[in-house]
Amino acid sequence: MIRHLLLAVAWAGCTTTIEVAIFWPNPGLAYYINAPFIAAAGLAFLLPWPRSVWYSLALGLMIDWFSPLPFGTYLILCSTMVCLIAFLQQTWLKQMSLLSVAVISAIALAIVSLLLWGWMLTSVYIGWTAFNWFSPSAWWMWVGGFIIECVLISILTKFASRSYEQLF
Amino acid sequence: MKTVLTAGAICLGLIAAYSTGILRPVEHVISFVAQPVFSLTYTFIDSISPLYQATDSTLLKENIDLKDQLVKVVRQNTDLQTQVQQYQEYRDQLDFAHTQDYTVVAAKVISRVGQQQIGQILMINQGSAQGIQPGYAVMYGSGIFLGVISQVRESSAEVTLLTDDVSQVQGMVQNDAHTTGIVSGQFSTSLLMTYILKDQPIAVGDMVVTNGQDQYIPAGLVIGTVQTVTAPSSELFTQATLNQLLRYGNNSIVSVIIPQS
Repeated sequence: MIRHLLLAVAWAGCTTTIEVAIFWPNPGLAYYINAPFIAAAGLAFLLPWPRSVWYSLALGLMIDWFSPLPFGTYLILCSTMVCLIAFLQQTWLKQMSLLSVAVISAIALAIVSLLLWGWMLTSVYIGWTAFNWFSPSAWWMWVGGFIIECVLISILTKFASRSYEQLF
Repeated sequence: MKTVLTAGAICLGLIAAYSTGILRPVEHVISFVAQPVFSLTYTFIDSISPLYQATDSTLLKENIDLKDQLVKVVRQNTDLQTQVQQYQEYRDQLDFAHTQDYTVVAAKVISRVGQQQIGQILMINQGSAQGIQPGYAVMYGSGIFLGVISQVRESSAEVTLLTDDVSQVQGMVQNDAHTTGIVSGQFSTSLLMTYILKDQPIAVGDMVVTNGQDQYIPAGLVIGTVQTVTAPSSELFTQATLNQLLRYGNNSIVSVIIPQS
């Protein structure tokens, strides 16, 4: 239990640091790569259900503290992504081929990205937070970041392998 | 399904707990541990990030511009010496009129959120525990206006830079007529001064400062210099683009101005 807890804290800490200190300050495409989403998807593939959900909650909590988005955004989105991936794995694409992982990641990322955009636009509409991040000229960077995320998740999952659990 | 519902309930519980402030001590501990790591990685990334590195030609141009500006400033300084004597007489009255007094909290920039084209927010390592509140002014160096606190947590805060599209502050030109206008961010890269009355003078090179009419922003903070002035005959007001006197990327230590009362 303690090892699980330590791993959850370390995982959340590393991902938050990577996102806040490395991805956010960087220009161009790097800014559009969402490290917590990649980490959440990695958790879903690498850990058995339902443990991955609890890890994703820890991850969401950490990133929410430093995110400029309304508190709760990453809590909800990371856990949603883990649930979606688990559902797709158990009902549809059961094998762990590179293509399957990429397809599942893409579907889950697309749904979660839509939820994120919906949430941000709702926040603007309600007036919770003033966002001015919507830049029509940079739309292709969102798509580019999305594709890179899928590739990263696939590679990470494929090479990390399922024997990850044996660490415990 | 039970797990999904439990996870959802935990999410909502945490959001509610955060909103009511119950999680403040946890936030404090996490910030205490995480901030040094953020700061180190941010400093490293900032030093190698190509966005904020200048080429020789830009530095040379900047050097020439600064020398030109220095000549103007020296000339202005001579005029100001004369004016200072006159201001001494009014100081007692002005002191009386100044009901607000300000103290300053130094803060370190731990991350930059957004980028040049789409967002201008800095994250600093001081928060509500140091008395910082949304709306407080943030300056860099000796009185250069950087932006306004937009969001505060216990031990960190976000600064929306003046160049951000959502930023607006009342500015005043340092000329005899004290021409006023609204300064706002333009495309997150430059500043635009609008609502300048057409009968009020404004010229290229004039210095623009805050006029103290905003709630927490004191007068006299330097916003920038006038770069271009446009006064279309069809418009009611004159507008001007401003050139900021600082370069982002090097401002690792900033100061938050806190009203004492």
